[in-house]
Amino acid sequence: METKERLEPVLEELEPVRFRFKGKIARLLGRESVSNAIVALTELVKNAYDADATLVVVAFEGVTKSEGRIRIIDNGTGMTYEEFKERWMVVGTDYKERKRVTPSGRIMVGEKGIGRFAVERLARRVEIISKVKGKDTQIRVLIDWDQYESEKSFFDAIENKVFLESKKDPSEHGLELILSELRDKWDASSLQEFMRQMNILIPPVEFARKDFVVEVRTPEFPDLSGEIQSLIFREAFYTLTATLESSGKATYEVVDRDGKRSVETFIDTEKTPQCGPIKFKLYFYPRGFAKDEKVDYKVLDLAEVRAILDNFHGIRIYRDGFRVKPYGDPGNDWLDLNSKRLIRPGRLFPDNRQVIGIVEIFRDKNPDLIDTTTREGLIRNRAFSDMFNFLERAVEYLSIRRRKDRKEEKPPVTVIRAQVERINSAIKRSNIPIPIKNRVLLTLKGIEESALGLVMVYRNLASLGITVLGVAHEITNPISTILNYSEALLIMVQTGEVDIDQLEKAAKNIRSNILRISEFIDFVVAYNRRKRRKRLKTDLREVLNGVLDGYRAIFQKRGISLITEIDKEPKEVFIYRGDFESILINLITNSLEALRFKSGKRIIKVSLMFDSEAMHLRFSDNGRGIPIENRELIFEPFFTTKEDGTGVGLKIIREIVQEYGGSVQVLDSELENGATFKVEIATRSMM
Amino acid sequence: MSQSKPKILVIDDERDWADSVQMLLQDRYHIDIVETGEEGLRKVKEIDYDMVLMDWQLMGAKSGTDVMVEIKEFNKIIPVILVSGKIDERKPIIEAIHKGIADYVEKDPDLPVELPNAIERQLEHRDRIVTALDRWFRELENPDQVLIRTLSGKEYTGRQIIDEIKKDSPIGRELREGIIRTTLDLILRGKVSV
Repeated sequence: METKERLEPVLEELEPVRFRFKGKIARLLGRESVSNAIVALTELVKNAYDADATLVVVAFEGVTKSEGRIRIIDNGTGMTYEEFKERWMVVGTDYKERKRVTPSGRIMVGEKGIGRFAVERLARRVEIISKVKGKDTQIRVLIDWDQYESEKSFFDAIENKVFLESKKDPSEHGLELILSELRDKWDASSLQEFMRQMNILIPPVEFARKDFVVEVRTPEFPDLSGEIQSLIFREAFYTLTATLESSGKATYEVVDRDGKRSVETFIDTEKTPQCGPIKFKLYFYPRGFAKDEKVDYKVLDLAEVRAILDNFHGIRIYRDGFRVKPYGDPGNDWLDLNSKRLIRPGRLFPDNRQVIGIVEIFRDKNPDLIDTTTREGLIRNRAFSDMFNFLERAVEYLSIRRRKDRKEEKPPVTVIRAQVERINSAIKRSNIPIPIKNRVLLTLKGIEESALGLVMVYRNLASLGITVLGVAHEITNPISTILNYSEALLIMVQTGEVDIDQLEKAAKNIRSNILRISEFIDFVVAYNRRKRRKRLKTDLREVLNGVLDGYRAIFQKRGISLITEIDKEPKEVFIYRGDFESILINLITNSLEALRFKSGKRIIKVSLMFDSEAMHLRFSDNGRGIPIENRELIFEPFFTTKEDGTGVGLKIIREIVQEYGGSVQVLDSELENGATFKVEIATRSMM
Repeated sequence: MSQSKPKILVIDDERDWADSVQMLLQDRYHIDIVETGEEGLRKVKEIDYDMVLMDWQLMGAKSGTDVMVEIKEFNKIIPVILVSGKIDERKPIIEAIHKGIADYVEKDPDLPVELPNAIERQLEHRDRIVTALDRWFRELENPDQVLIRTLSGKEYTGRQIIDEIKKDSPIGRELREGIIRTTLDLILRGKVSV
């Protein structure tokens, strides 16, 4: 078969043909490709951002009626006549693609080449005034998009007028776009949508200078006028506020979206931080990483929050209101959050891309945080590492709170009963020998009893006005022990490998721990019964000794030495015995709490003295103490928030003391550190 | 004694509780229990544990923090899991984390499930190179054999190498790096296969 190509002889080469565009291409690229006016306007602000502007004013004038005006004025770099001609006027410039970072270090956000068509989308006429720093002239360009509608004209044949004008202030720079004969009317909701879109550009900054501000001016909607505020802070699932004082006192506060607050204060007594005082705010945003993570934001949607975080995640340092780079640049995870998250799985450590952090420092207050000579960050000296530690602890605190919040509160009683249920049904299905089955069932009965006992404990404690948390330690261990054994039991039954020795051991230990719980119940119940009968003739010294005796075993177990100083003379008063007991029990509970993490010698000192006027009770410990500023607040109910465990106990003391017209105060401890509670009641009020 | 089970030291003065943990975990791990920090330290120096599980509020002269710091001085890489009586003990937890604990669990109703999970997570994150070296040195026929002699003439047996690496001392870091570098070199030159 013949496949030979046929070549005809060439007669002449004609002029080559080119694609040409009718003016209407502008409409195609503008109105028909930019989906709506909000997107178009957003794009123009993005261009200002990419031109390193720090301020953009968007003025809406008469936009509720047809043919209104929008002016967009920025203080960016502006363009010279040549730049305008070669860059703005050439369609398809890949200027932005080649250079994705602006001279000031911003990552460009505008879509390349869209700006001019966004202008076409918005208005029929535009006037562009461009000012470049240092020049005493400016250019003014007039574009009338209607010209491009004509059937006859070709796109690149249409001329747009340019004027060179004098400029009053040579230092001025930026671009002003005056869009007139708008194609759309604007109402409050489209303005709000535009403002919401701006969130992706507005840096979330607090107590510092913003490097990009968008201001809306609209006489028609005065409420919407003004600087656009970032919505992102309001969307945070958790807000951490941490302050480090020069003394070394650090306060961490976490508030969740519902306003639930928890606070913790640390004082590093070993050394004062060299970094000086620091303020730190951290906003946490789940990004829907985990499959089971429910993420719904209030105003913004998840995709928007993610986009904002992509731009502004990380922890930034501001000194005197100015950013210290590179801390918190995109991808700059200088606190190593991500690696901590990896090596500590399950700890709910935040990812660097889930947080917006702001660290505030000052040149005069933090003189030891020094720039490196290359101006690329701070020198890694002792001050820096002190700051680092403080910030790291703050983030730890947040992750502990998150982990706690994730956990369902399960009353131990419910858990124990559920466990018994599980073992019961496992036994039914299991084919272990009958005698062993019976042995297991017997053990289960014991476990159920302990559950019943617990219900009693909680009820009695509540009626006595003692907070459960304050004493829960006494039953935490037995409960945990019982649950561990029952879990082991469940595994044995499930696998069918019941070792009779192991079973006996589990049963025995479960029994002894139930006993521990019931002893504690008896102790509590005994006090409860004695409460509130009649005002009786009472020797307070005897009541004190009785209560202290009840706690002797606990004191011993916890290595607490008790020092007492009791008046030698008997003094009989008429009181409700339960009242005085309640005061003492709550004081003891409070001190036990204060001494829990005390290393070294733990001391409680009680002094009960009378003079002709009054009873003086002084109750001291050498525990963590109570800072002066909190000494009144601790008597408020729930002041320390439930987390701290002191709860309402101290309030009860004050209430009782006040019923007798007495007073209770916290003082510096009589011991080397800790706190002293001074209770005074006039003897005549106890008659 | 079972050779293959990871060894865990429990330091808790609540003996009943520690016993219950032992029963719960004994199928998977070898558990030793001591009641004071001092004993715990002695044990850690004597036996090569894979993990320490300790209460933060210890009886005796040494506080949980002290014990933890001393354990870490002796063995930097051993994971320590803190067991705390109450979830609300945030302050000690933050402190403990800074002193180097790997994780924490609370003595709450979820413990029978959470504790084994926490232990597994840590064991999975062990430094596998150190674990492998450890095992290999242990299997040596002559444990006193000098394996490395430095330029300055210092000699190290397998045991001493592992100890230095665990302490994360300067020489330990050098030894670790040297062993990895040499091994890689041998692999690249086809002298050993992986």
